[in-house]
Amino acid sequence: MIWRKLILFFGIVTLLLSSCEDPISIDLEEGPSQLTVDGFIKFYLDSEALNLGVETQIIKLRKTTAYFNNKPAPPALGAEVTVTDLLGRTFIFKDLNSNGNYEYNGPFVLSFTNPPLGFPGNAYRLNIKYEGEEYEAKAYMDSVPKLDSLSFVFKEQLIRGPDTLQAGYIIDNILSKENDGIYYPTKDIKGEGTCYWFKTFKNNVFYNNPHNMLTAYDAAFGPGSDHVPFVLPIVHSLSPERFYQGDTVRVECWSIGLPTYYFLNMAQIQMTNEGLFATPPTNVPSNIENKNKNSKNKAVGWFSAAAISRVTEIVP
Amino acid sequence: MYKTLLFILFFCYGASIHGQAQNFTVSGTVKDFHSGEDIIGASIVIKELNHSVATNIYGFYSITLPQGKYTFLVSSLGYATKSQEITLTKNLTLNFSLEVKSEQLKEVEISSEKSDANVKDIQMSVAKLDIKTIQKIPAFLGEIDLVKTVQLLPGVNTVGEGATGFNVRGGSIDQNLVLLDEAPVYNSSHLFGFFSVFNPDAVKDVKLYKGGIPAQYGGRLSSLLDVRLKDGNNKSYHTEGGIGLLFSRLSFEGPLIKEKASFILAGRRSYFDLFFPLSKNKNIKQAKANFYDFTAKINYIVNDKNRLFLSGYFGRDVYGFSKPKFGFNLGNSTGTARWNHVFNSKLFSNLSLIYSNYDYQIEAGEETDGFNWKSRIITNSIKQEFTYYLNPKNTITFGGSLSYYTFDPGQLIFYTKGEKIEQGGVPKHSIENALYIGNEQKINGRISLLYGLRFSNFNYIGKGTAYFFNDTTPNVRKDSIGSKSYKNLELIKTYNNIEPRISFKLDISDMSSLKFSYNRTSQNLHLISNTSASTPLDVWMPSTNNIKPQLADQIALGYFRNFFNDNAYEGSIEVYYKDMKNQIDYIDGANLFLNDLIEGELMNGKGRAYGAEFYLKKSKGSFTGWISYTLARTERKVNGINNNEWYPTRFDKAHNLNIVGMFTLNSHLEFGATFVYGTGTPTTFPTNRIEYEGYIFPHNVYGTRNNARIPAYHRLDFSATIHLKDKKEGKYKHNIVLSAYNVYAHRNPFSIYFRANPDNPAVTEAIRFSVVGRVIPSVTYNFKF
Repeated sequence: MIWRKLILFFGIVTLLLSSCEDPISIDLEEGPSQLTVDGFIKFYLDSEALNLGVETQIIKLRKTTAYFNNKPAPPALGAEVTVTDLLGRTFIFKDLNSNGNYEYNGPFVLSFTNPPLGFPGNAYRLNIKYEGEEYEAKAYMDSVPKLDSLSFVFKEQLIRGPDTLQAGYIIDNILSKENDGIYYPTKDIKGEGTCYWFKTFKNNVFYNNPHNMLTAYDAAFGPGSDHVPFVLPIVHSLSPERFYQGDTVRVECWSIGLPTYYFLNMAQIQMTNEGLFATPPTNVPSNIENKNKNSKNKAVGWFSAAAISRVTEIVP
Repeated sequence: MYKTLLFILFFCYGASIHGQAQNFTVSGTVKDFHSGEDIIGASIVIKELNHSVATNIYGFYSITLPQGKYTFLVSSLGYATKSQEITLTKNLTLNFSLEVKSEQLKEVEISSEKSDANVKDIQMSVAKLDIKTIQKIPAFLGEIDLVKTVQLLPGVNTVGEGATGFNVRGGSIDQNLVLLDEAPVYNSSHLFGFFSVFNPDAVKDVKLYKGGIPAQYGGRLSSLLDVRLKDGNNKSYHTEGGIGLLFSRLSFEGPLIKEKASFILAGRRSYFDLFFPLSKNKNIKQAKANFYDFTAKINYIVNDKNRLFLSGYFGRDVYGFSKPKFGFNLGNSTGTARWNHVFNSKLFSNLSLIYSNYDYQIEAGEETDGFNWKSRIITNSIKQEFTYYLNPKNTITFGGSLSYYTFDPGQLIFYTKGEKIEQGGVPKHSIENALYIGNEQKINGRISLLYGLRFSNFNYIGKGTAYFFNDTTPNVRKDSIGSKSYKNLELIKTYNNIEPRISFKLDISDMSSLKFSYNRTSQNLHLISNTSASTPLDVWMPSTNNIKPQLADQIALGYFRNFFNDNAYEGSIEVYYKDMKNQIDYIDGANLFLNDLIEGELMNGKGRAYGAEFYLKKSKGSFTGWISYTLARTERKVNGINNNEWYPTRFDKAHNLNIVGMFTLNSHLEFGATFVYGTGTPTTFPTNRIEYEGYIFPHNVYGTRNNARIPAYHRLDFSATIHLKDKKEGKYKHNIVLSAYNVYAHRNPFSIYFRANPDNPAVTEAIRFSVVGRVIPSVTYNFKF
């Protein structure tokens, strides 16, 4: 979010004075382990899936661990996972490799009578039966604008406080080819409150630093920017660092919907909650509900759906 | 309420009839002989009656006595006592000028008040600081600071180093009314919280009310920090200044018309950015990072009955780069025009016109590609105060005020390839009225009362849009279910509050007293901030149809005791309990900026704070200083947070110890030392971690807030002041102050937070964040002539 970035920047002035950060060791109480749901029903706008003719959807079930457990989260095994869509079809997800990745594989055909599970406009209800409890979550899939090209611009070295950005290229704009065959800056989908998650990959490596998590509400950071080109602070944030000639840069735009937008923003706040202007630490919310409201076993994580548009360019 | 008012009026009327036989009034002012500055709180003792009065903030006093012969003893700490015999056969105007005591003596006294004021005054929960004291306390980067010094007093607290503002008796930072010559200051900090906006060279008097707040003050729940500027020397010209590592100060004062009108001009500017052009890097070369402020005041004594004051403040913090263009600036400006009028020897009046503005602006990029964000809060007020010196036993104050506020929460304008997008920015308006009456009454030689009522009326008005929200699960964003537009000045919502105030004092002996106070306060201006330290971008909001006024009831009981015959030691113990309603809290992940539906992000809770404050001060001798210890608790209860249970606030500290010592070795050398200890502030530690899409979230399975504390804070500072010798006894005085902040370089954590290691996101770690992690030495050169 833009103000968090600004505040962090202003904080640099303060930090110049003498502040310091260092890892310390703390004893933390460990709470009981909980089921974690991590899944997007996806639809890729490019033709890859269509060419393959196969649709694969994955929902990962994991367990929470002690905070300082520095190993991958253990899988939640033996769960029954189904997804029911708007058309009333129920799809069974199976843990084929016993690693907690519950998969659905089916044919991918663009048909009105029997469309794929993942397509914009569809809505989903996830059902999980696990260790005697039954959990549910809902999601819907929005449309996404089509990205067709990236333009780059060369920037000189930039020093801002302790950060130095070397001279190099940044993404100047994301472009979409319109009916007249001309490339225009990509516009947000019409309708207020359409939300996006932008992901940048350099040479196939995702910028996974939470500080670089980039989301948009319409074309900006809030109401008032419907169906216009994405604003500059968003476009410029697509480049967490400078690129060089020959780098392969991929940008993905996920249509995440308002609830997931809020969820990701809260997740980002909690993952980057540092410095003078930290907010009270709170739990990242979850949309996974135990059907038995009185049960003490609550699940965490988030279930969502996204249409994904992606574009790859080599820095010229 | 009306019954009480009637009672007061009737009572006063009755008292006035009672005192009518052959009485005359003596009134006038008490001033400093050399500078002509009014002396606040000077004491006038009528020897024959063993009765005393004190001057008000304009140096005015009035006393009504039966016909007769009297000896007036006029004194104020730091001044030689003046004695005058009078024969009272008619009303008299009697002005006094006090001479400063010999330099040596003056330097060792740390209060300008009369020495037993803490015991004898009806006021409790009040701390007075004078510049002389503040100057001797070791300061961060050698720059003496009012707000930092206030934080060394009992009952005053801060969330941590570098945080803006201060917390008084469990109140949040927006619950302090900070007045600079009566104008409210909305952000009292430069460079976040490191320095306050008050230029010490221009300040005459600082008073902090933590409780027992008199009826003439209102609008905030927890405290009043009343900062009064110097009037300027009306006899001769003087220059004062200092050169420090971070900034320099310069002030100039003198007469405009000798003994009739004077002025003071004071300015400061930081200069770390003056070195930027030396940098080889182009970006740094063109960067800006500075703050500055100007304080100015003029006053004009029209005649014995009329006096005019004009004072103003203007300060800004400026940060930015020119290429690519990026700029951020913020600041306050205030202005006060005042007219003192003495209707007759018993009725003193002051009329004030007040203006205050706090704004910030962020700009980036150019006209076609970039953005611009502005926000501000403007106050325009008119205030009329009367003091009626009815008789020696009753002093009645009454008056009222009217304020018009404009809240501009900020509008963000984006320009992308020439297209313009506007976000947020619906301003809000309100009018606040207040009426008050209070009486300070001396029942007999031992018992005094101060009681009053304040009536506040707050109107949230158009032009604007009122939003309506659904009721939903606590701690979930409320959805707007409609809105209504209002025309200019059209009433949207009104809140009325009646605030009783009462203080009681009983002298136990000549050296000790017992005091009790109760006050109710209300607050209709709210700082919307959910960060540990308030950011400069935080916005103020009025009470609206969705935000109710904050209310607080506080009771305090205190025992005041001085030791030894010359009152060299002052001691006090105070206990307090404060109950707060309609406290604002925020939903998790609240979006507080540029959000017209911001009220949907707020929650409403209650608060309570209680504690005991111990204070022992030595104000005479070559060794002076104080020890203050506060044992306190401050908690909140908000539905939807911490499983609906009470939890400690972010600035809760059980123990708070401050030791301040100042030692004068001889006329050339002085030392100062401060030791500060505070319990670590609360925070929330995770119990588990969640892995999601390659990210790791900290998670507390019990959903508690502030379940842990960061380690305790402690720090030692030192300073040495060397008064440079001048061969000839000239006007020019100068000194060098050497100081060291955080002498033993303790890494006091401001916070502990949890994150995934940036180089290896699978590894989670706890990080200690310290604002000042090492010793900070400094040197300052001060001069005066």
